Order: sequence, then C-alpha cells, then structure tokens
Amino acid sequence: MSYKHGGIKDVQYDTAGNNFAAAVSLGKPLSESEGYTPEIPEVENGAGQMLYAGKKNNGVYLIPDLTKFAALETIMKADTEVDVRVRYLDDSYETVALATLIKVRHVINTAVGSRNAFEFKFNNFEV
Amino acid sequence: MKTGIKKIAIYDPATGVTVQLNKVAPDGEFNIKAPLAVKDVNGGLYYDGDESFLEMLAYDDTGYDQLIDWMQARTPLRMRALGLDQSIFWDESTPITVKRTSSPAAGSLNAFIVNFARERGTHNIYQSSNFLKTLGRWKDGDSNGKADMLTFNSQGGFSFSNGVQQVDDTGFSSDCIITGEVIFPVSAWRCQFFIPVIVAENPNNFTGTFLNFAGGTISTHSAGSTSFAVTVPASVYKIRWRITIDSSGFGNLTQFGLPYLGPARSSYSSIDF
Repeated sequence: MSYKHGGIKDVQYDTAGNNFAAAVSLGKPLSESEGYTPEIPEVENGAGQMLYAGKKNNGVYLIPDLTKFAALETIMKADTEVDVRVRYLDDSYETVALATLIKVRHVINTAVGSRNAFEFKFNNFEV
Repeated sequence: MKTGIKKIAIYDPATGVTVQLNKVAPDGEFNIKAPLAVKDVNGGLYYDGDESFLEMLAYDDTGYDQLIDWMQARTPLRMRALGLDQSIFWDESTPITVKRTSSPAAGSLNAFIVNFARERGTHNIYQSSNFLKTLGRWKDGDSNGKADMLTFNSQGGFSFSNGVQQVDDTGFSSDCIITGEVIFPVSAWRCQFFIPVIVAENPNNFTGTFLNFAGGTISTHSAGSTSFAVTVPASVYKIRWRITIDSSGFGNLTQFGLPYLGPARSSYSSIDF
C-alpha cells in the first residue's frame, strides 16, 4: 500500500518470481530521479468513456552507489527479468514492477560539485 | 481483455520438441478464425469456413535453425502464445514459413518472422484469459451434473447450477479427483492456479502440476490455499489443475465456481466464461 508521504529510502530488485527472498539493495536514489511514473493507456468506447487497457510501469532512478552498476549491466545484457520494489520512509515496501527488463547507464558529470550516478530504468506492462 | 503477447512456443505435437520465443516484437499480426463467406442471391453472407493467420516477429537469438528445419520439412506444428491477459492456443497442425530481417544501421535488433496460416473448415484455435476455457465452457451441456471443461474420476454426487459445481462425497468409496489439463509448453512465467471455493473441506487438496512431453511429473505444487502462483519450470509440456475431494468422512460438501489456470493476475473478475 502506498505511503502518503513522498520520499524513497531504498530501491531493491531480485530475480523475477523470487518474492524478493534475495533482494539486492541499490540504496537511496538521488532526489532528482524521475521516479516511478506509470502510464494508463485508454481506449475510448462509443459512449465517449475511456476504457482501461492496462498499465505501463515506468521507473527511472539515479543511483549514486556505483558499485551496484556492474551486476545490473550483466542482467541488462542477458535480458534477465527482475522484480523491483521501493522502500518508503516508514520502512514499508511497495512492489513497482514484476518480471521487468531493465536498462542501466552510467552518467559521468563534467562539472565539480555534484555526484556521479547511474540511471536505473525499467518499463513493463501489466493488465 | 487486454492486448500484449509476452512469449510464444512453437512445437511439434508428434515429438514435443519446442522452440520458445521470449522476445516477441510488438509488430505482428494475428487474425484468428475470421469467417470466410460466400454470397447468396440477395447478397447475404453464408459462413464458408475460417481463416486464421499469425505473423510474429521475434528478436530471439536462438530457435531460428530449428524453425528453418521444420519449414523445409513441412512439419505440422502447433503454437501457444502467452499473453499479458489473453493467450492464444493454435491447435491446428500447420506448416510454417520463416524468414530473417536484418538492418545495416546500428541501434536496432535483427529479427525473424514466423507465419502460420490456415483456411477453410472450422479451426481449433482459441484465445482466452483462462486456459481451462479452451477445454470447454463453464457449463453442464450434457446435464450430467459435471462442468464440461473438467474431468471427473467418479460417478454420482455431482450437481451444477448457476455457475457453481457441487460435489457431495457421501457414499464415495475412493477419492474424487477433478482435473483440467492443457498443453502449454511455455516456461519461465508466473502461472496462477485459482479455484473460487464456496464450501470446501481442505484447500491442501488443491494442486498444480507441470508435466513433460512423456507425461512425467516435473513438479507438483500446493500452497494450502485456493490461489497460488508458481514459476513454470523448463521442459514443461502440459499444466494440470487438480482438486481432490477425499473420501474420508461422510457428508463432505464442496462447491466451487469457475476455476482459473493462466497468467498471474490481480483480479479474476474479468475472466471470460
């Protein structure tokens, strides 16, 4: 169940279908992350009403812990599906994507005064 | 009923050899049991058989060679497409064609295209959220007190009314075993077994089993619950849904509604009958 206050203290993933029994923590994402922003496609019926046609889970998190990048890059190149969940400030969890493919890319900032991070991105569709 | 195909299995029903495509592209075309028609003198349309074709594009790295061998040998094949919502059961033995598509530009994926096509006659091709529905509808068409889509190993003590199957094991000399079994050689996805029980004696008697082509058991699962999801193992050929009404004790009554076998879902309210 979603927690009413904003803020994510951890992003975790595990092999799809493992119920997060061996969840890997990516740590706190940077606040400028786009975050979890699902889309709801709609199909219009003859009465002008919008029918639900599924939900596309989109998530992009900037992870400053660069030690987690290599393992995720391996998962990405192997097209391995993972489950993803986030941890709210009250320590409750919410699963945001099941059996999703991920994309990771390592961003290197040129200017001083910032933190390098890698982008952890996932998209999948559920009905 | 939502769109989206996640995995496709193309298999030889004579040998059980299966090619599973896990990277199905959104470009593709499915046309299932479109009616062919002939006109009468007044322009009315008479049904003249079915037309079905599937064109699927896959980015998979493996499977192409086997598909080519089948194409050149004109091997009759069947297909299962695992959907996000509705899955497709192509139960007509059909030869295929396969071709590659490649691009010289970077930033894309090479693919191959597989075609199934069939015309005339009525086709055993189904599209359903609930795999068990491919065995028949949730009804008692022959009025024997048993739902048509399931298999029962006992006689007597059954009634079917208002979409509810009732089993009364009073007088049974052995366990009553009720099963539904479908061929679905697709592995590595979350399969949900669900039975909406109204009155039951023991949910531990509800099991899901994965079988190989030879009929051997790969694994059996029971969660002591009327709803559980299991990751489908490799080498699966059939999936079996099963409830056992054991004969111990008398006057045990079990009632259940439309059972479900298929992709794990958040809600079962939209399962088509």
